This record gives sequence, C-alpha cells and structure tokens, in this order.
Amino acid sequence: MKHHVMPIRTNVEIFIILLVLLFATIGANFMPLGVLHFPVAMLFATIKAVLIFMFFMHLKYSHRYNKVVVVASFLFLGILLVFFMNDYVSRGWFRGYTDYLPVSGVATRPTESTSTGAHLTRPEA
Amino acid sequence: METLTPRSSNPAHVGRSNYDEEPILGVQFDDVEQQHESSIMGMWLFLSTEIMFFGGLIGAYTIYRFMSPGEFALASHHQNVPLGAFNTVVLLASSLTMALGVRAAQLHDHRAIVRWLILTAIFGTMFLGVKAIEYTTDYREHLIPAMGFQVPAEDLEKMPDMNVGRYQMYYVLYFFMTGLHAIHLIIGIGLVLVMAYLSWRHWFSGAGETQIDVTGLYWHFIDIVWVFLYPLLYLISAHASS
Repeated sequence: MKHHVMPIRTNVEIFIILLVLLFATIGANFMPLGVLHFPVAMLFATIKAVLIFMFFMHLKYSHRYNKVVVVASFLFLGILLVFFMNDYVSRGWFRGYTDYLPVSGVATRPTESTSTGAHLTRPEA
Repeated sequence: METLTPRSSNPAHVGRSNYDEEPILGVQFDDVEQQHESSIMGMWLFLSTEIMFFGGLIGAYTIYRFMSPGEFALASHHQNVPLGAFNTVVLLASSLTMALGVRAAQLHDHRAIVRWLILTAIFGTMFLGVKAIEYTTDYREHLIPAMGFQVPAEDLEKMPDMNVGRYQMYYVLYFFMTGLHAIHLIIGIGLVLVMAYLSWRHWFSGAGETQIDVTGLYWHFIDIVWVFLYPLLYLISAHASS
C-alpha cells in the first residue's frame, strides 16, 4: 500500500503551531475583549481542530468521501445548535400561542391581548 | 476462496512471518487498498456519531450558558487554568506521538511503532492523573453535584441574586463533559496498548498499518474534543459581563 507519509519535521511543526494557538487562546482570555471573547476562543479552537483533522488525521491526503463525512457531521451539529438557540432566544416573543390551544375540542379565537400587542410583554405570573 | 488463506500457510512462506508483507486480503474486497479505505471510512463514520454524541452535551451547555452567563463565569473561575493548560499540552503531545506511531506503521518500522504507542499511552495516563487531582480538589471544595454541593460563600456575596441551580448546572455539565471525555480516553489508552502489544508480537499482516491508522483517528478525535472543552469550561473570561 502506498500512502502519503508525512515527514517527522511536518508533524513537529504542526505540534508547535498547536501549542502557539493554545497559548494564544489562554492569552486572549485575559484580554478585555468583551463580547468578542467567546467568538475568539472558538475561532482558535476551530483552527486547532482543523489542523489536527487535516494533518494528524491525514484528512488532507485522504479520499474525498472522508472529507464529506467530516463536513457533513459538523454541518448537522451546526443545525442542532442553531435550532436550539432559535428556540431559546425566541421564547416569550409570541405569548399568544396558548390562545390557540383547543378548549373542549374547539380552537379558540385570538384574544384581545394578542391583537393589541400586549402579548409582546412578558406575563406577570 | 484462495484469498482467505493466510499467506503464512502458503508453502512458499512456510516458516516466515507475514508481518512485513502485504496485508491479508478479506474475500469481500477487491484489493488491499480498498480494504484499507473501507476501514478508514468506517472509523470516520463512527467519529461522526461521536460528534453528535458530544454535540448534544455542547448544545445543553450552549443553552445554559446563554441563559445564565453570570453564574457560568463565576462557577468556571474555580477551575485551575494552568493545570488545564498543562493537560492540553500533554494531550497535544500524545497526538504528536500517535501521529508518529501511525507514520512508523506506514514505514513498517515495528520497534518505532511500539515505542510511539507506549509513549502515547503514557501521555494519556498522565492526562487522567491530572484530571483525578482536579476532581479531588473539586470534591474538597464541595463542588461535585449530588455529593454535598455548596455554592462557595464568596460567589454568593459577589452575586446575591444568582440562580443557584444554574450555578450548579455548570458543574453538572463540567463533570458530564469531562467525564465522558475521560471514558473515551480510557478506552483509547486500552486500544493503544493492545495495538502496541500486537505489534510487538508481530500479530498483524502488513505491519498493522490499517489497524494503527484507525486507532490513531480515534485518538486524535479525543484530542479535538478536549481542544473545544478547554476554552468552554476553563476559559470563561474574567471580563465576561454578567
């Protein structure tokens, strides 16, 4: 079998880049980045993960269908996270949905609170 | 059916090991290359299920951190950042030795295979040792949920109106995520040691290139999981607003 054999030098270089990125992540933690803090940490982590996938796991030299498997799994993970946040961020935006729940088998009509926009404020209870 | 016959039972190879030769070909494959590629792709498919496995926990983490950023920031400040960084270095080093082990398998250098694999297992065990120290500290500070969990008094002073349940939820997620990661690492260490032993015994055909490559994929994946867990659990910024 003839496979791409990576030189030891390349392996060590990737390792050193990973260490540099690790200390960059820790350094960024103590910087006053505000809201950017979380995206920056995730960006560094993603770069590290891509380096490990590409070089240590030989994905760069691997068959194309293995790349499809990896990209697809992260795509579906992304869908999961986006829909989670979609749900939790939007809770309380549309209070009126309970007004449409069936009462004794008949769907009720929207109440006054939904038509006046009062449903956009949080219920006191 | 002749492809099922191990080469060592071929009269031309009697008394010789088939360790250094081409791998024994399973009857269902066209050639050794296809056999190798199917094993590799099987591992990638397994790893995609692992991404969803850890993804569920990361999803739960995302939601709770979004709903209670202040509690999560306070709770995470009890983590030992230097010790976590040390552990990350150890795991990255184990990935390097694993990559060199796979390289040795590609080159059929069986002494180097055994050496790199044992080094990988040592680094993995070191990681678990440091993790055990961290868990012990958490136990002493009453930070393990369902084992006498108490919110530290200084944190209650800093944030008197905190949601105590959400504060504890950080630790529930911390122990589930790092615990699941540790279980994967224990399995990985076992796999690596078995591969080292079998290589030492010349048990494989084709120097076990496929088998060690597949083990390596699993090992690197554990490393990638930790690369994400470290910033998520240890590095919630000191400047994070509550």
